Amino acid sequence: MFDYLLPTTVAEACGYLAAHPQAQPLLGGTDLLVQLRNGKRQADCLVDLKAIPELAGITATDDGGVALGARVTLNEILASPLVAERYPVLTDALRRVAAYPVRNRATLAGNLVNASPAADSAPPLLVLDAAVELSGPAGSRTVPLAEFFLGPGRTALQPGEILTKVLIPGTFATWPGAYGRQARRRALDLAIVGVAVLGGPPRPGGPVSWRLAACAVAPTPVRLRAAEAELGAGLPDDARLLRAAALAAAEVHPLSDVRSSEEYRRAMVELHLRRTVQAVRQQLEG
Amino acid sequence: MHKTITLKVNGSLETVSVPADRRLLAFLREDLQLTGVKRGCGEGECGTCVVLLDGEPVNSCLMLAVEADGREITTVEGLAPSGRLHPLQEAFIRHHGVQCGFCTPGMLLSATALLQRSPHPSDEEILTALEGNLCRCTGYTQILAAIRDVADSRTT
Repeated sequence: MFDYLLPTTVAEACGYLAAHPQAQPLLGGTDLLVQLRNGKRQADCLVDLKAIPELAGITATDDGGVALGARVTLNEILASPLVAERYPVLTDALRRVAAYPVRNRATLAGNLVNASPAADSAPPLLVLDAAVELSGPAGSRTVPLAEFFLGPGRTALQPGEILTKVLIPGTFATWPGAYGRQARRRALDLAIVGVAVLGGPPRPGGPVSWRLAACAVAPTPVRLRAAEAELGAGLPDDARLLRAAALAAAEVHPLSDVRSSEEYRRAMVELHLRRTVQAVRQQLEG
Repeated sequence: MHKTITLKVNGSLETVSVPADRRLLAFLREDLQLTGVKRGCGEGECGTCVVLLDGEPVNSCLMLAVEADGREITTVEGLAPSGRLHPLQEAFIRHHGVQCGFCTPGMLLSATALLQRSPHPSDEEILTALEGNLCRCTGYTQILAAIRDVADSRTT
């Protein structure tokens, strides 16, 4: 049994959440309603954030980046020409999340706040150096996404705080990128492994650097620093790429669970890192 | 803990009082007797409960009835309001796209929304549109043929 509130301002929502620790913020509900039903989460009230005007919309920012309001659904992001042009690595990952009807409700903000180690939106946002804007009774603050995840289901959100915006800086806008994903089937399954690869900047003959991140291989989504260091600058040859992929498999800390063994996850990190870097390398060469 | 909501269901305007925690799926099936909406997994994995929300497919098990306030819902019953079958329903029958029939309402609604937004979809687009609807009999090939048939026979 829970009540339902539909506030129209961030202050109203945060005020209620701060005063009622048993209340939960609601966006798409695609994770929350399932967790409430199977008892993984409790709530005496759901505070629906979808009527707050300032949480809507995808906007270009002054630094050439993009700001995504918390209400924005995954399908809205996938339909955005601005996001597709600036951050192909993000659209490549989001189109693999769940299935079309779920993406009509599920939000990017909700995927981050849920803090699943297998969150598909996290690796692309980590390689893009994204940050999240958090608002609470004490005001707003911006936290780098890399510092937002604390563990499975745990984030830097304080009581009464909500995630209001996802901010992607212009630094890596238009860099080629791709997302490699292993799952038991194409749709409607969590990732066994997800690997985001960003390479750029996209100038023929110019210097190239690489940024890599993965999900479902550690308690939180992680950057793959050892593999990045091995790829170094420029377009790696196949020998170097194989060494980098082996380092990625060694630097992650996967679990064995119902979807996969630890060994299989390491092997899939290696495979998808290799394939995904090859795909981005081809775009940079082309 | 009851909320009064006003919504349009299959073209007819309803103002009703619902418990705040009632799922849209339970509201449609049990309160409005629209049993064409099927309950499968209850957690967004199977697509049998898909309905159209302002024309776009959503899983009714992953929504509260109160979230539909002010919106328009279409269930499979709304595809044939006058008792005359929708072209997609005719095509599903013609191509034997129905076996046990449990996935059919969700399949039809996902396909209806697809043809609304993309009248001449590629095979890839059809597969993506149906990726949230599981069929266990399985009639995927015939379902694809039925949708292809309706899309190809359109003149616009």
